[in-house]
Amino acid sequence: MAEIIFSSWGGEVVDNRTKESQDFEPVNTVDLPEYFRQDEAVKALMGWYGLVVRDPETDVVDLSRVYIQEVQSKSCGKCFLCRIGTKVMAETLERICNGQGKPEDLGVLKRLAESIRESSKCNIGQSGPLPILDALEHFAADFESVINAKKSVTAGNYHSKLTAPCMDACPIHLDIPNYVECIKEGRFADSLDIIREKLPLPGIVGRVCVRPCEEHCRRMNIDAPISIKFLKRFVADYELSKGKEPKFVIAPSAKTGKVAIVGAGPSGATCAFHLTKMGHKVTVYERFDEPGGMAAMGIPDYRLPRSILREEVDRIERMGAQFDYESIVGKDVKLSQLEADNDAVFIAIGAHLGTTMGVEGEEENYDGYISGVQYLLDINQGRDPYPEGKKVAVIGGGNVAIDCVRCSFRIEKDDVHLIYRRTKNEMPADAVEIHDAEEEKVNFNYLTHPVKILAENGKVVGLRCVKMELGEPDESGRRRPVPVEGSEFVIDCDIVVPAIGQTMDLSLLEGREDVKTTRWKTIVVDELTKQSDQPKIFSGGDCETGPGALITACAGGRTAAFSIDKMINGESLDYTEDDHFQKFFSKVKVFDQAEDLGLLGGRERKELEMLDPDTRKFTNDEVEQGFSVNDAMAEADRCLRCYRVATIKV
Amino acid sequence: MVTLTIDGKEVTVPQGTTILEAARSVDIKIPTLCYHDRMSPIGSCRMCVVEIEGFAHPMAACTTPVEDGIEVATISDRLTRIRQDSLKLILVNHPLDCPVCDKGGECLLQDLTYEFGIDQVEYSAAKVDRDSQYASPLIRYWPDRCIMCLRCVTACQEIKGIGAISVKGDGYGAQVVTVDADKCQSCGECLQVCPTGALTEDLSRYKGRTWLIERVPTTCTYCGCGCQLELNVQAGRVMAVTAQDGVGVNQGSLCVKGRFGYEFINSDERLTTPLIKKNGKFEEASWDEALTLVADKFSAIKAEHGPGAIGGLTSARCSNEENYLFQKFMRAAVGTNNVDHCARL
Amino acid sequence: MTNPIADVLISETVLVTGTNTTENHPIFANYLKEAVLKHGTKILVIDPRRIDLVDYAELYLQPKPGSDIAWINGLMHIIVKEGWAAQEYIDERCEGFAEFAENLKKFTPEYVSGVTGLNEDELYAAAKLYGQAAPASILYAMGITQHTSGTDNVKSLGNLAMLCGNMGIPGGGVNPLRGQNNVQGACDMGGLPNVYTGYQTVDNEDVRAKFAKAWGLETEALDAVPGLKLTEMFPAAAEGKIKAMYIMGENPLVSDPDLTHIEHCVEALDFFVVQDIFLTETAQKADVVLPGVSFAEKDGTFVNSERIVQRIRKALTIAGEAREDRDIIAQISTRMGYEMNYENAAAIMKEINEVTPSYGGITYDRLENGGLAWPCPDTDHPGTPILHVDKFARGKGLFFAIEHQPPAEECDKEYPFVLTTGRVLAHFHTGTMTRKGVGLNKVHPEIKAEINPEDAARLGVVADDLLTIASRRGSIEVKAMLSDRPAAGVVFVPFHFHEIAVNRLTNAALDPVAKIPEYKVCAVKVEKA
Repeated sequence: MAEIIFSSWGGEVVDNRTKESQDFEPVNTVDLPEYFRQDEAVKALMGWYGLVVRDPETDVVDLSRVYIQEVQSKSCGKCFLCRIGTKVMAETLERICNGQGKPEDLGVLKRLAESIRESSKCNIGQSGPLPILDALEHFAADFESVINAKKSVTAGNYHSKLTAPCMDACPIHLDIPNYVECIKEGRFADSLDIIREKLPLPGIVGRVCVRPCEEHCRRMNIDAPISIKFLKRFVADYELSKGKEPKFVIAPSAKTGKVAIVGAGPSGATCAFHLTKMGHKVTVYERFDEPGGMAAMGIPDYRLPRSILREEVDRIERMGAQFDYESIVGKDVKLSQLEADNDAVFIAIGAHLGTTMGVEGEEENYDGYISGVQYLLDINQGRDPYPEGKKVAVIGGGNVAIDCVRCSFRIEKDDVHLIYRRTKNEMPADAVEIHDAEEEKVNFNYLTHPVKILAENGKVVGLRCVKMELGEPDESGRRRPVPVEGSEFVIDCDIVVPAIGQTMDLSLLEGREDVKTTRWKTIVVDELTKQSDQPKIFSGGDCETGPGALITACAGGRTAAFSIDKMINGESLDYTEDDHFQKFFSKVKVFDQAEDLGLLGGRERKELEMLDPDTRKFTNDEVEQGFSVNDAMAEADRCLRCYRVATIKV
Repeated sequence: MVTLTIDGKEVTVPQGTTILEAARSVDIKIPTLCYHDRMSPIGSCRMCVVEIEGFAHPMAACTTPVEDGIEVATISDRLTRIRQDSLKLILVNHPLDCPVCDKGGECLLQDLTYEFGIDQVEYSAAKVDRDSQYASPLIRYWPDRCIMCLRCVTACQEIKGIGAISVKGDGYGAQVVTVDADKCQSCGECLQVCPTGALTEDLSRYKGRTWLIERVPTTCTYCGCGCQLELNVQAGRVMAVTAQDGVGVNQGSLCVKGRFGYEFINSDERLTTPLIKKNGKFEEASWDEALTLVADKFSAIKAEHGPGAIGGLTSARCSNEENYLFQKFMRAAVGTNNVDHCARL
Repeated sequence: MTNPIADVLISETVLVTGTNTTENHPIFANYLKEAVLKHGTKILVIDPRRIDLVDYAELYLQPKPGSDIAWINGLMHIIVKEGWAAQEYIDERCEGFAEFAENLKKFTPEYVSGVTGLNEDELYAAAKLYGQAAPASILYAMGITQHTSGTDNVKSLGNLAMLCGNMGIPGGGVNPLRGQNNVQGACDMGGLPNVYTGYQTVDNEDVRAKFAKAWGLETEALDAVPGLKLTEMFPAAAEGKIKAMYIMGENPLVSDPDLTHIEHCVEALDFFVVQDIFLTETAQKADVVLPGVSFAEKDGTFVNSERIVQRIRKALTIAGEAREDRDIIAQISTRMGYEMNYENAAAIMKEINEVTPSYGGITYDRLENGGLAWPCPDTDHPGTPILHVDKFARGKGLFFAIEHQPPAEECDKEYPFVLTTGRVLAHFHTGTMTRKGVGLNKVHPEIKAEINPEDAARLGVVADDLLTIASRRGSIEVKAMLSDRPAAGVVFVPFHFHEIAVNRLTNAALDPVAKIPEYKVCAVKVEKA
């Protein structure tokens, strides 16, 4: 592997240019991939955090020119210094590279770079000129020699990309700074348009997203991340409350075709939305009588009112997609038939089967033993899964487990336990959900593991558990729980709900066993195209990734839609530049939690009003009340707009 | 309350106050260009950057809220350099057509350029062609003069709740454009807040230099809002109507009628002499003739048919004083309560 | 207005009814938008037209024109039933509640729904939005008053505000938005047939004695009987009771209802004097026309909707012989043997201060520092931005039991559409001022009738087609504008355009108390011309 000869990434300067290779200092601040594409070695990187050079032949002057041009074209134009200053810099570098540079140009570049960096409104300008300053400092001789030679430099090959930490973290890469800024400026409809370029379900995602974006929000480094999720919910709710019907423009592709989508969950709906927008004829087959998939069946109404879900999917139907409800693929219609009748099939059936715990008594199917998914499905369809039972023990530490306990109150179970073998710190469920469940007075049994389901006359009467303690870390990095000998005890309960995981029901593949699946029963597809090894079959969502985030499922649906469109138009499904950048940024991290922003924080994050825990727990009313206009605009105003540009020389 | 120091001076202000507001409360002047009292901070000009002890980055005073114990400096070589650069960059492509600009003499950019002593600009960049179309037929947009401070865009969105104009394009090519001309109500709020001559009134055929115009404060003559406005008068003509920020119920806003509905004042159709109808046609008359005729006729009818045979309509468009006199005239001179006006219409 | 407009910023809910605020009071509308966007205020629009403000509203109800009493009583029925009424406030500060509450009983949601065309859920939601808000404000304009039931409509809104304890508190009140620059002042100054300045009644002997003294007359010289209202004067002219008229700055030959009839009345006059700045449609009928001056050429004061008295100032002098209106009046008066002689406008105000308790402290000196809201009895008084604080002006707030009554003219087979009239943003009243220049005509060049697309489709009409709109009184031809502002079955025509004067169609039926004409409802037929 070729060594890095210079790096200023993250402010740590490593200069190996004059050293012998055995004396090279390592670069710790960045993991620069060796290749961008298969046939394109990464020779240098110029970006928001510095300059990294691997190939000694790299012309840093030309790289600077290309990079600052990219910064200039991505400047939003809303502050003077960045808008005009980067233009002056770009023209100056252009002139230098054309052999018309003057010695005083370097002074101009340096002064402007400093002024822009120090005072621009957002991070484009604040980060943009930084690597130019590094280049001017450490590669001064290169600049001088180009100016003195008075000859044009040879233009190299580059790839450039605009990103932002939140955008990069978002599985569907929503243009978050942009739509947040629209909210700040009171342009709510524009904000929704930006969201809907990629995501047709802002009301749903704005309620239940696990929000990786907020975990990558730079504002966190000075006070607290901005409330991106609820801002998204706000614009969706605002439109709905004003009774406005969004206008979707259908822009047909050169060639349009027919596509079958299996499952009207978030992934299927998103795929249907994009394909319909591109003019394809889409039929969605859904086994339940309503859309939403796991979002409808697995997420309780108090978190995601069904009316919201229904409305957002109905809009896709009004755009022209056909939805066939209560139609089971594999039973009512065969997959092979869909394949024959359509140009492509997108499978997004989710993960609706519960997994077992491997506990004694589980296989007996006692009355009162109900899998988490089934438990939620029953409740969401308006049934009490086991009216006889009153005391519930839910096993698991994820969001489904939390949903099960909180739902139990809402079907009038009064004694509700959650059993988890590690501590709260290791719990994978959303911290906010855990907090809300605590408020509603769920009995949390941490460091507890079930060993046997106790039953009388075929009915659950209790759960024997053992106390655990944390031992050495396992491969996930979390400390492994080990049983404490002699600590067994019984939890008095008549309903046992295992909610430790879900798996897929792949019976629809009957007759198409040649579609490759994993041992976890997920469908194998190409990560970036969502195409399976059978060219006409695509898959996304939980049945492809395993139980995961709703936004990831949407992203899968969107990716598949574009792949399917390409296929119908006879285009190759090769990775795009964006796809390669996605891989690139998995190495070169866009967000640095340790970054010192040098800015004053202290602007409080706006929180939502909540219904009172003592009364809400017995109703299905939505617990979280959305932002007021005022709060939404104030919250949006906290955004630092952390756009940043990277240019890679290949 | 939060206590901080600004340029060594201790300031105590409520939480949530911005550094700019805190500084103004103790008469420390931080230069601003895009900031406008009636709107949320925009943050486009970066003139108000300040330094806070312990933080690497200068920050805009208009958007940064105070924190307890911070030490703010509003003047330093670095800040001056940034402010000068900000102005110089605007001047890279701002035409120096001040002699023919309507705003010449009361232009914020002119004032700041003078204040910061910008006598030469060492930066250059090619010009971009911008669209000069504008939302309202009553306002002219001079794209070259536009510094993109975004006061107009913010005012349209924030004060009027309309959003007829917006920023389109990225980077150097970004410009203020009309996004929804149908929504524009030609209120001229954008015109009112523009700090330069980028937006000018395109109605009056008569122009005057700002320093020759007299601005007479008065009350609008249209609806019942009672907006406070200024008639811009030169040589006996109303050239324009402006409003003073923070004054009256309108606080500086006006509507299309208030701002542009002044042409009637100098209309050629105004009545300039009394008219008496003779044989079905109006003839010009002297005041003496007309007033005597009116007084005599009223007196005769009053004598013959009683005061109740005369009716008078006073006016919701006239002043209190005139209304008072009119009803006094009807009651005291004529002797009837037959006086009314169009309150109901 | 009982409260200043800025109070809407602290209101929890604002009920907006019968006012197309964004067009007719654009600056007040700024406050409403700001209230919604920045202060979380909720707006409840109840109006037969889907006005632009609906875009900012929490809830919008579209009742049938002329059904105001029914929906107001309907909301109050629900508020009482749900226990949202401010009982303590009512007991302490109001009277007449029992009879009023009894009358409400029959205004059940079912009944009201039948009269108004609103559904019961909407009524409930609206009642909740207003009834549970604290404080809540009401804004209205001519959409409420220009009905044969106008007085009762206003009283009903008063009932609603009192019922919820919203009178006399910041952020509350019942707030009529005044349509003209000084309509408030013209009323304050006694430009009404029954009162002198400050609403001192002509039938009160003490009042007459006071004015007689101030005006240098014997008390007997002043008429003790209220005079004729504008809408009564013209018919009286036709009947020969009124022989002469003196009109200052008004244009009834465009603005009044049933114009054909008005023209006929004016022609019956023996002598007709008009004082104006233009040769208006009315002035053209006059025997003598006296040229006055505009607001830009004189000193004086106007009173805005919020009861704030503010200065106007002389900014220029117009060439020609036009004279200030006060001079003209004084000259005629003097020539009739009653001498009037004032040095300037301030001298008149001084006299107003002396005879008008509520204007006692409003002097030109003080007005230099900004406006003052009356009542302002003396020069130390800061003015009164909010009326009825602590107690009502009359002592106790009086509830009225009010019955619904249908408009004077209802639709039938021959005249199946409701015509409603009003203003547009860029023009004012009869267009005398706004249509004189280039500017506003560029923005709004011509008259158009707003018609619902559903009706248009039925009539085979597309945008800019010519419509014939006819009532029992007349007919006009006007271009169509397809718009979802009016509901199906309703057409809207502005009245600024004398050449196509919608008041040829309107009904001169009057409210029995205020004598205001029913501009907002008359029955018409609409056809493609």
